[in-house]
Amino acid sequence: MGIEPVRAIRVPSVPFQGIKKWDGTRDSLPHTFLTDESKLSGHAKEIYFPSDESQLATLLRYLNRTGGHATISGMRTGVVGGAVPQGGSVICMENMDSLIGLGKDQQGYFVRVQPNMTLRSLQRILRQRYSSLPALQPGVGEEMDAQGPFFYPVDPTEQNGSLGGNVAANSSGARSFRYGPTRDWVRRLRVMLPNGDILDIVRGEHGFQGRECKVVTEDDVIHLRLPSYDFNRGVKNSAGLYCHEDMDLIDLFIGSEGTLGVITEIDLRLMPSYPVLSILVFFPDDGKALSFVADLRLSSSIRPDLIEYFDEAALGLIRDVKAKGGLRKLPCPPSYAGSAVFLDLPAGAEDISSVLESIRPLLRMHGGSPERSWCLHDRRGREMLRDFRHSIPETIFQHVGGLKGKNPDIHKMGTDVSVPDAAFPEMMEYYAQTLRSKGLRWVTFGHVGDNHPHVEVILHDMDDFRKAKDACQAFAHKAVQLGGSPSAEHGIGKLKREYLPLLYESQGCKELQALKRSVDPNGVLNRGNLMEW
Amino acid sequence: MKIVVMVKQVPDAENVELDPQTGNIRRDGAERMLNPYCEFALQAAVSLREEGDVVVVVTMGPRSAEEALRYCLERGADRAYLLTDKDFAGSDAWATATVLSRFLQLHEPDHDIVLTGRQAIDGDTGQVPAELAVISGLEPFYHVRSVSKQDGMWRVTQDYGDEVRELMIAGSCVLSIASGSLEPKVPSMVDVQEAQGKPLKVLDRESLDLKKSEAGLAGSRTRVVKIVNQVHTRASQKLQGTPAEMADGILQAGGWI
Repeated sequence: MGIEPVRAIRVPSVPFQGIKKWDGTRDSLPHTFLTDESKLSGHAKEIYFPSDESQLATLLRYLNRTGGHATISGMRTGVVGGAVPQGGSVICMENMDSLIGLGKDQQGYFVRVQPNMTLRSLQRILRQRYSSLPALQPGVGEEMDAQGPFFYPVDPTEQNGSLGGNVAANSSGARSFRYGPTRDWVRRLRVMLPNGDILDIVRGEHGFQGRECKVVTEDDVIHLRLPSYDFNRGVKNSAGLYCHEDMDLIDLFIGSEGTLGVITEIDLRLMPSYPVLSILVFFPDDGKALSFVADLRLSSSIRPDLIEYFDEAALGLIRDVKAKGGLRKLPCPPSYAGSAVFLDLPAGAEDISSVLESIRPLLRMHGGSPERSWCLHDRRGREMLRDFRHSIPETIFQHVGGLKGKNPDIHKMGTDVSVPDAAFPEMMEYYAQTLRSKGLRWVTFGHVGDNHPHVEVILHDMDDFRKAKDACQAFAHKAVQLGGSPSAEHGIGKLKREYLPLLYESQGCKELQALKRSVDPNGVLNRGNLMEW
Repeated sequence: MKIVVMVKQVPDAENVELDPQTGNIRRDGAERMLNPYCEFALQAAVSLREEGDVVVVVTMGPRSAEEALRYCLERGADRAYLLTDKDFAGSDAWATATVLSRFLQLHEPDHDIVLTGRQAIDGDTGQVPAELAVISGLEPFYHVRSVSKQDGMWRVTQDYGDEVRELMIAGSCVLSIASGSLEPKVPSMVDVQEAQGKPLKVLDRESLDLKKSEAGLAGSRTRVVKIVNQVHTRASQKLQGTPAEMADGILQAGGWI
């Protein structure tokens, strides 16, 4: 990797009047721009909608000049308040959502997009004829048609999330079990620094020497100095800035939650798609499902892309919603189901029988049976199973949203904790013990393959909320003590800032602050994310 | 009892591209699915089946339509036929009905009932059930909401929207099934594995004893001359005044309450 200073590119300013803007007071701006899926409420003076890099640069320079600051807003599907403004302005990226083109390098094919393209749009695009799409090099689309189809393996459950948001939070989701988080698939980023200059970073081309890196802008030299902690890479983790010696510069921006720059272009690597069998197997109780998962992870012959978990309460939540007439297009969990595990297994038409055969003995050993399962391999069916999985957090988001009227300060209370393999049973026991002792109800579901299920408290009022907050604080402590992360995939945002001192102590947090100030001395970007400004 | 279900594979409704020149659906590379109304027909067939009954599922289409048949075999059908031949390409509703009818006559003449979906969501004609019935000498019944067996006859509910009819029908007939459960029937691992071993027979034009002139474009009685994709635009109009004045305004604008 190059040790030369990295040169930033100057983007010309444009007339300020040309930038679309909504003026307003706290009351008249649409609330949707002042919150996200955490249901945390914020406030802002105005909302800007830049349509290109020049407009964005103009805005950032204006904010630097006038002492303003802005929160970057994508699709607002985050769950830690990262896009929720605490005053200042909002810069909404929704006009930068296009496909730029398909490309190819020595490592394979990639797609270049603007930051507000959603994961759903990208997956749709990747189902089209590639030769009908814009290409970065001549003939790439035709080549891809001949070798395709291709897919983008990272699968954060929320399909409406923006890819810029995914990169800013280093989202992961269920398939990270096999494919890792967003970070592993980012080939290149264009990032606008708070002063309006652009860094164009291709992975492998610019790195830190030890913990130092120099960025040369038109009027300044920025000395980037990484904090002295080492980011925990042994578990799924999105807590704080990624950081280790000699790391790639691109990795500083991935997962930085918009605190160091605004992402304006992303190259994401693609891989050839393959047929997959999605299976939901039901077990009599939670213990049986978890022992099945433990054995499955040890198996050398069965290699799932993902392993997801539903405890009895999570299945009960879906049953309750269906009984009230909701989720009509989803099947109802069978009455015998006391828990479930969801697997994606690679299997072409000719392998279906052998793949199903291979999993039977393990199923039976843990009280499951092939009859007590759902099994789908067509795209629509598999998407339906994914919707089934996603219906749990969505139901919880809606439930918490419904409590806001009487309890304006309430927001969802759930865990995003991952721990090393050996510590997982202890962590699960600790969740149950703690929540039971506080008299709370909860559901557990999600990424059990990465020792990272989500435990969501079913809140009813502020009393529950306070108890749940204490519990989540205790979970974070426990996770760190066990060598895990208190924020495996959701990031820190504004709601989980207190977790950073647990991980990095006050020294690490001060170093984080110093790094932020070296890039953004006026605090123009995303105040309140990761750290207090 | 033998229940025959006629199904069709259609382009995935969520991913349809139209050819701007011809107005036709682009089928190359498009993802495919079982026509949703055919899914209702399959549901009706499976719910009719009792011990010892057989559900036979049939489609006319390209080789890829085998996927739709496997889908049905995983969801309760016992065996399947794929009617495929390059000479079937371009068949209109009449030519399709001719092929399906000949299949019934030669391969499953002892059927007790024939179920179809109301229409395919790609062609949208809804004519095949009636034409299949006419050519086969059977009676067609449209708008069918449910069917059951009672006293050796078919008890059929037809839903016309403003009118619901209960019929008792003797003997085989063609039912065009218009509705069903939106809640998906999800197969188990066993269903999927067993479907792999269920018989799926492929038949071509010759094995159906059809002349070239009876199927495909040659056997079609209609030609699509032109398809125009209509773009509907909506205009809003602001009404002001007292409630009575605004109500008048709605009536004058041709609206209704």
